[in-house]
Amino acid sequence: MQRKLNYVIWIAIPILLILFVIFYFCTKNVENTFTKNLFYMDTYIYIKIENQSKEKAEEAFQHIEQIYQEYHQLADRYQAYDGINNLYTIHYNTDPSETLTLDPRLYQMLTFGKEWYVISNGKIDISMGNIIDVWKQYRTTQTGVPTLEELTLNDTGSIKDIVLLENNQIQNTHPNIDLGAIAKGYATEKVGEYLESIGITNYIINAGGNVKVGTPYQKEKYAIGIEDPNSQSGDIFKVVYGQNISVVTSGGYERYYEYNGQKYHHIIDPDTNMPSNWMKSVTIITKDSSLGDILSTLLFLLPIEEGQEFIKQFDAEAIWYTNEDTIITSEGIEIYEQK
Amino acid sequence: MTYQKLTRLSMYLTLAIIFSILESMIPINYMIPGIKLGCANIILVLVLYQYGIREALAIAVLRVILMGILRTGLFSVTFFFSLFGTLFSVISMYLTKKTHLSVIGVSIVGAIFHSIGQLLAAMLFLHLHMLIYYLPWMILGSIVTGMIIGYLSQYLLKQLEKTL
Amino acid sequence: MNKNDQTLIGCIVIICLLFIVTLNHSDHNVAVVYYKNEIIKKIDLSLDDIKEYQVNGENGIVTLEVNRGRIRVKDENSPLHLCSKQGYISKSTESIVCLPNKIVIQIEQNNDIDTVVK
Repeated sequence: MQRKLNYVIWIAIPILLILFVIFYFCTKNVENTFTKNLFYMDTYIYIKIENQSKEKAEEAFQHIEQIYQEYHQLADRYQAYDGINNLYTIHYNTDPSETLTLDPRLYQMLTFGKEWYVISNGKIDISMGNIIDVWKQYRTTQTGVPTLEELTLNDTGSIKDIVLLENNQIQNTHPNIDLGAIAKGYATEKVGEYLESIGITNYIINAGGNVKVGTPYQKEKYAIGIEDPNSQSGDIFKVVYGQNISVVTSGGYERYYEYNGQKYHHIIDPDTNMPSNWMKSVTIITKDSSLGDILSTLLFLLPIEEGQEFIKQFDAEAIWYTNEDTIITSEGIEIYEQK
Repeated sequence: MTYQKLTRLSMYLTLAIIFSILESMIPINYMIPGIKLGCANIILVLVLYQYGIREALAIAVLRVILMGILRTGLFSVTFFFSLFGTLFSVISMYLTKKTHLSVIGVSIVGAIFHSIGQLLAAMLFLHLHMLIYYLPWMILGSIVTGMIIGYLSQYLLKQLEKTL
Repeated sequence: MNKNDQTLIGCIVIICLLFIVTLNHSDHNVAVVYYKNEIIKKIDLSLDDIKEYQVNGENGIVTLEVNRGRIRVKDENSPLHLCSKQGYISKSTESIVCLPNKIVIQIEQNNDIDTVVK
């Protein structure tokens, strides 16, 4: 009996052990979640793809980087790039011709911006590049606050100067355009569309204030935390749950400077040419990232009551973080509060 | 092949399919889609002990093919799960039968390799590499199911020896 | 069931349990850095491949290094350098304590939240 027992142990157990060791080393190398960090449009962009082969994920990352890079170049106001007309060349070109031909993607963004000028009653104004430049200069040097005269003097841009023609052409009137409220959301939406088109559905794209998620792997909903504008250490004041949604936050707490104890952030109201201070942050939850981006900027520029009224016409929900540190939500937010 | 053997093997095949269908009708969530208890293993153990590896493999493959036609669809993902599972199971049981393990031990080894086979198929066809983390849990589960099937097989083998 | 079966079952159960313990993979962990009981930094360990962070401790700058889901103290100023000798930690039960620098690093599991919008 004792002999038989030994026979089993000395044959079976080493085989099992070897098998397990092989499996163990397999798991060390086997991975199906891939992440990538990019830096475009002044933000860190974090992309996570779940449940894919390494080759497919790497290929997707390459293409995604290209998408962000191209949108970054098209919407760049400070630099020209070979072979494309971007916001910089629209403003500074010395081309004597009457019209410029644009990349269809830039043309689309400008069309989108002009449409939203009408929808938002002028609150979304892509033609205020000059004012943005003045504020940006003060923000980087931190030397003070622009005077009203300086701002009025520079308030020369008008949406009427941006004349879009047929066949992706724009009239060469050298407008100083800013697509800060549009480009990031637009590019993020395009990246989402690209991922879906190649069959990757389990993904998270986090481009700073713009988060777009697909369907999670092995659970029903993604959980997206919204950062507390008061917190120094990145605490979260609310979590929303969903799949195939975009969550976009606009707030004055990410990019600002302080002068004489007063904070001046980067979201400028076209009516006053000053940073808007109705709230600390506003978050939009909707399907389309480009809609989310523009709605969050717009709602940040509107008093909360007006925003509550305005958002009703869209398939979108909003969360306001007020100056008094209270939280107000739009009526249909419940569907995003369930795990 | 005698008529008696042919008839018995056909009966076994029929029983294996009935067990599989019955099992697929019990709605238990086994955490991973397509991975099942393996009730048909009782039949495979019986055939393996009464006849041998060739007959057991034939029954196993035929069962998977017939189940594919009847239920899951031929060459679907589930089909390959089952195929990998049974092949691993039968071969491992054949090898362990030669050691001094009882029917129960052999059945447990069969159940474990059934899981491993299905898991490998899932990793190969669905690229679900993370499933490897379930393996220890699945093996623990297999010990329980293998023991149940082992006891049943042991009882049936004894009864069949008496009657046949 | 004979003795052989029992031995086999016993061995497999032990190996399985060993594996369940070792395969406890650390996804989505957050390293929380405390200085005198105050949170001064939160580092998402799942985000970066290899990255260095610097925090201020009692005796000057403490350099932390995140490396594929793990974190360690790379460099610090203290008499015995105990916490930089400790090496990497990655599991939610582990922590690094730098007493001379009054810095504590703890790993918290952050399985509830997938990403943060700011």
